[in-house]
Amino acid sequence: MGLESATYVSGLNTSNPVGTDSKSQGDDHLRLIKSVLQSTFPNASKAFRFPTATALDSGDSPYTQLASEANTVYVCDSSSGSIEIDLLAAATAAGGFVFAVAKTSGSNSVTLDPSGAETINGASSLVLSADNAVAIVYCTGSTWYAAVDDKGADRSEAGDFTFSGEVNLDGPLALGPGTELTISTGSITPIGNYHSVDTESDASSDNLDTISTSNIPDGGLLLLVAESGSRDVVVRDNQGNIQLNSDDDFTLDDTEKCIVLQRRGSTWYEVVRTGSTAATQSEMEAASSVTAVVTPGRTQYHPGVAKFWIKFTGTGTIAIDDSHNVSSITDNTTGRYTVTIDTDFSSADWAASITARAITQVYSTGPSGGMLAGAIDIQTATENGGSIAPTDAAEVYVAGFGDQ
Amino acid sequence: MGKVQQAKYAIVWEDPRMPDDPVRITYPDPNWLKSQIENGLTEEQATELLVMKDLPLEVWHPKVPRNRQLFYIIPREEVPRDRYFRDAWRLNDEEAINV
Repeated sequence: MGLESATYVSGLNTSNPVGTDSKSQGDDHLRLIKSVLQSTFPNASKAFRFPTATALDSGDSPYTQLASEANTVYVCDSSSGSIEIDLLAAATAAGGFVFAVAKTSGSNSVTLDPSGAETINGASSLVLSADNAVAIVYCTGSTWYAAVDDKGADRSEAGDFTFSGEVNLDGPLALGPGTELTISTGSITPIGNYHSVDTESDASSDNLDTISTSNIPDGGLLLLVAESGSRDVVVRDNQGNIQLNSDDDFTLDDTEKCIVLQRRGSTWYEVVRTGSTAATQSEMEAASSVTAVVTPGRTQYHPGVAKFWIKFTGTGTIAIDDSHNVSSITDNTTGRYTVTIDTDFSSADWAASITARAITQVYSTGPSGGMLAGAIDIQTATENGGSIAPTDAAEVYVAGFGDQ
Repeated sequence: MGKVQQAKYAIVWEDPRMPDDPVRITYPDPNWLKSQIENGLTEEQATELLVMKDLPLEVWHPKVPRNRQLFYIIPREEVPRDRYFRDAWRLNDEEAINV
């Protein structure tokens, strides 16, 4: 006899009853099927509907939800207009009625409108705006609730968030909003951490003295860039509530320039500025700029910097202990040396500083008897009894200053 | 910078403009030499370049008439360390210094 023992549907054997079984045994199979159905669906006191999808667009709006649409996903294409779905009365839907809404367009909106004075998430309606927004909605029998993701692919979020732990980002961090702020009587009011700034009425130049703190929390950073490379925004130190490094004003006159400030209380303090240009040779030689940046390759052009220096041993086999911008040293004879500079001075009008150890007299001339742009002749001597005798110096130190 | 490695070679030469002067000895600056080597020259090539850069034309230029060679490149260790008669050092024809 092919009668299995089963509690749930999965335990039923589709091969039973076998063809040789007696027809009188059919009642046993019917009772088994009823038992299994009731065990498997213990609260099946109403119709169960399998999940299905219903496409809606603005032509269907307003759409009246049907009692037969439990477990339905409303796929809403709002590209041509907004869509309204009028929900069942909660009592009609009854507790446990579940459906979902998927919005497939970034245009327009999808509104879920409960019946009469009923609410959804405590509000009179629920509006989905973003492309790919999703809502899972369920009924308690008297009201509606929904789990909503209305951000779609854009994860931006309005409102304030406070984190007490670490924030670890595996992806890039972008500051916003990047919108333009126009100076108004010396002031701007940022709404985010990143803005471009332009002059009032597109004037060729304008001063920025005050930055509102109303929208940026204490400790917040603010990155400002120039909106235009043809207009100058002069961020001024200590004229309003801005304190800049070294008390130097900073001009945003190039879209590549930016300045980062931090709010501390009611004051904005400079953190860093970029876009400072490397000092040119003429700027180095003028020695007056307080904004240009000194770079290693042009430091030597400053008039206060030694253009060359050397320390050498002038006894035995002459040896150069260390140097800068020297190509050679020549041992001419006792107590007489020539230092040849690698990159010459621009003229013979330069100053030398020469000292020597254990030597009473030091002389210097150019190799041909006068100063040269690219070399200096040095003579060391000792004075003994009124006579001066050329003498090799154990150590000689030379440095030269002038225009290069 | 810091402790530097001295050049392997020295250039010994006489200045025909001052024939009574003793031989002169020019030592390449080690830092200059290092930069030349970093630019692809050998030390020997750099030393030859220094001859043209730092010595008078009368000493090395092929178009300047002279009746003998006025400079030699020699190993640094061949330069005498005893400088007692430094004022009497002369260049001889065997690429060495007559002390």
